[in-house]
Amino acid sequence: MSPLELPPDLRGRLRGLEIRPRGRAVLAQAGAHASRNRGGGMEFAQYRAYERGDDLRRIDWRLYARSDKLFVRDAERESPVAIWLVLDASASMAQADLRRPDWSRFDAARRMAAAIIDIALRQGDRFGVAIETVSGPVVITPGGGAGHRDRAFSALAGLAPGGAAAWGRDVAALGERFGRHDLIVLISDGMDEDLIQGAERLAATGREVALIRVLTSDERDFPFDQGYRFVDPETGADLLGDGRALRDEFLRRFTAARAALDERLDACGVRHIEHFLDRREDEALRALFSRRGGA
Amino acid sequence: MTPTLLAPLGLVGLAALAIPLIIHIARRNESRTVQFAAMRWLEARPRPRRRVRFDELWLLAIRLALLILVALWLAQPALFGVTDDRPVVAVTPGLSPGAAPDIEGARRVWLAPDFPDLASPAPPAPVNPISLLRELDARLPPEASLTVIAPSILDGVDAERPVLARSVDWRVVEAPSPAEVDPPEPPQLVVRHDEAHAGGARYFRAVAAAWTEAGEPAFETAALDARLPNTDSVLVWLASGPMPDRVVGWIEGGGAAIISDEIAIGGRGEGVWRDDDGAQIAERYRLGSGSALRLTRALEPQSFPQLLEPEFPDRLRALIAPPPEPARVRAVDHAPLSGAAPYPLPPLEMRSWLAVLIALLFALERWMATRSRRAIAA
Repeated sequence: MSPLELPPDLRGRLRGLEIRPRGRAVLAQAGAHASRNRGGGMEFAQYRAYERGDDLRRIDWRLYARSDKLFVRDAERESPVAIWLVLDASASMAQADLRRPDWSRFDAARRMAAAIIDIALRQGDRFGVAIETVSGPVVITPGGGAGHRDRAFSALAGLAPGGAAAWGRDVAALGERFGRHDLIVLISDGMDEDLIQGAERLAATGREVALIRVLTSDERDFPFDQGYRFVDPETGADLLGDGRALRDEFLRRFTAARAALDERLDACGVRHIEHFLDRREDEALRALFSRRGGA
Repeated sequence: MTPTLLAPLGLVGLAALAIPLIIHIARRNESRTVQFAAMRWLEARPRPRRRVRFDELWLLAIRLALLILVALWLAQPALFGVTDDRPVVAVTPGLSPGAAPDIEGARRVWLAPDFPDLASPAPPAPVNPISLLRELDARLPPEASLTVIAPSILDGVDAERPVLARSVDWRVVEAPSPAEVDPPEPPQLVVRHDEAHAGGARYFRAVAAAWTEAGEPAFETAALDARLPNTDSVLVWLASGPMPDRVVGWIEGGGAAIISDEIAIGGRGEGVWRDDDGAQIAERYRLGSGSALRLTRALEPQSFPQLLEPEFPDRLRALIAPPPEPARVRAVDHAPLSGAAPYPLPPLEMRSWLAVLIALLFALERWMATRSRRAIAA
């Protein structure tokens, strides 16, 4: 199944999920992050009956002439907040589980992105996509609506992970495109130090940053029980070793590294969650966004 | 019971054990490559002592066992001392199986090749019962007693009373006497002679007369170019120089001939008759499937005094067409003697059992190696 097609059960579980910016953004919107602020805007949304206090300029006189009733043109007002999905498309994202070699980290990341886009569409939020590839970021500027979703999907579908991303070079450039109140969701394996530093810098500028670390279950369980040649997909470095001999030490060190990263992200106010390839996508999203105000 | 290997060199086949071992290790050595982004946390510890590991231990074990069995099979394992100590009752075919006495726990067989069980249909009467008796005696361990049921007249025996390794309970059962056998007719003597040897023919006429008990002697004489007889007859070729091709062909076709001393014949003759001084009288030449008996002296009493001796016809007949040996005896007089050294018993061969085991293991191995759910895809 394509990672961009959400399975029906996942779609069902996503229904109850909302993506809320943190308090600061909410305050900026005077009480609610209602993306669907009806009001005077460019895009027509609906007619509604005139109520006292409505701006007389918004009454549709032509409709009044036809129906003898006062209607007000309601328009979609663009949400001031956009959700940015920043996907890592470096070679390490191509890694998959031993047990499920056709479902890579990148597939999971795309499904995660599709799920967030699904929620954003439902909430009426604008969303933008940036895919960090080896040759620089592919950016879909924020927009809303199903058409925009299709544009984002076609950009996501055509990409295959490869090479090493230069986060240090590109985060600054991306940062200029992110709005001040935008929610920035980074989807990556989180193993690139430059990415973490970039997230820290973005958070330091007051933006709201969330990091979804997509990890394989192999990295959690280390089920290698024989001799393997472990190859780093980005540097090409390799290590020959017997899985059983390496297991305990790796798990100890990797767990410690994850915990250290958690602390670091907590310290700079980046929301973060780990998603394992063998888990359901909505679990991570729920854990990430249900924490009111974020961690 | 002593296990042994009749062909221990077959154990060299054990070297083949290396093959499945290598097959099962080899896969281990080619470590599979796996993409692993979290390499940074993998400790590049010095390679642990290379431990040889094997895939699919059960399959390996079965393959090793299979090869061990095959090597054993090649080495011909056998058990010494596995013997059947039951008493044996052997009945000569031709007698009714009911003639066998009831002996507790006895094995009852026919005295016939391979000693079939008495319950099986009676085989034809043996050509040489005493030879079979010796074989049976040699096959039995010393502890087994042997009872033989023989008919009152035994046919096909040899001149000596058999001597066996054990004392045999020799029971003679009255049976209809076998048909009288007429003594074989003496062969016809057919003389072919040239002018110079015409005088020799009369000695052979005398020989033919001596062979014949009553009636006209079977004798014929003619010149060299006369028709040759059937190969049942004995051709007497009295001439000089080489034999014509038709005579050589007649002998090679299975005929027996007596040729005179002046015949030139190739090859070396086998001296079969010498006089009292040791001088050669007759030598035999093998030609094809027949033979020629060459008398080395001229057929004249001066040089060949044996011609006139009374035993000359019998000697000649014994050389050219020997009458059969007497082979019939009253069973009572032919009871086997005991006292021969016992034969070492052949060991019990285990190959057939091993073959069954090998076939079973092979089937198991194939099943394990080809079932769809193997731990490691081939």
